[in-house]
Amino acid sequence: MTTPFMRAYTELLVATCHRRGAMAIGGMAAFIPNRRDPEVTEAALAKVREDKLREAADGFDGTWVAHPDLVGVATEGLRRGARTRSNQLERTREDVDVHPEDLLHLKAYLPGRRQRGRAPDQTSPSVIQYLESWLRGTGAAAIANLMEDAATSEISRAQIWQWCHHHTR
Amino acid sequence: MTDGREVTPELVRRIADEEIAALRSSMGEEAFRGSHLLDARSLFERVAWNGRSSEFLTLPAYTTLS
Repeated sequence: MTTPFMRAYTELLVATCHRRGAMAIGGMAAFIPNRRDPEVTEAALAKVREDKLREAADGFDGTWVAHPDLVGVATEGLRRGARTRSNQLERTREDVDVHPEDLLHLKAYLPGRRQRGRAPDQTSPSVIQYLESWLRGTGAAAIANLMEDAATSEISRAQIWQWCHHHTR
Repeated sequence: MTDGREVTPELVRRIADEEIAALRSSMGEEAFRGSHLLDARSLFERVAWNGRSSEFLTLPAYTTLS
């Protein structure tokens, strides 16, 4: 969420919502707790806490979680960041200066260069398992301690398609 | 790839085959036959590298459902 174009969209979202008096709702961190694995749970809570603090600092009024066990940490993060006010509508974020080109700052995706991060041998299994789950009628599935939904698989398969068509290493 | 190899359809197909084989042996033959993994595998092939990219992953998936 901190890459430049993602950053540009979250800033613009808060500014646009608040200019119109609408609540700005943050996104979903995909990390989920695992009741049988305390280490996974702890790491997920830490990541979600950090994400919600960032959202609160940016001016978001509410947020979205992938698992009921995350409601506590998300509420805490937002309360702390928003200093106990129930919303941050008064923060109109007039400092935000985002232009269309900032939303399309995608130089990292030029042909032949793969962005740091997951490679096809890491993304393909999740997409296949997600599609299997989708075909069984379950549209959100916990795979490798991450909550996967159609959006995640959509991004992964588009990346694989682009890597294949642009001779990426 | 993490090891520097170029990403090709053949390579992704091999990764998918390996993944299916691994899931098949870990879940057992009966559970595998009861799953939708083979349909998922062929859908993956259609959306991840074949021809023109389809607009949404779920569009070809709906045709598999019916």
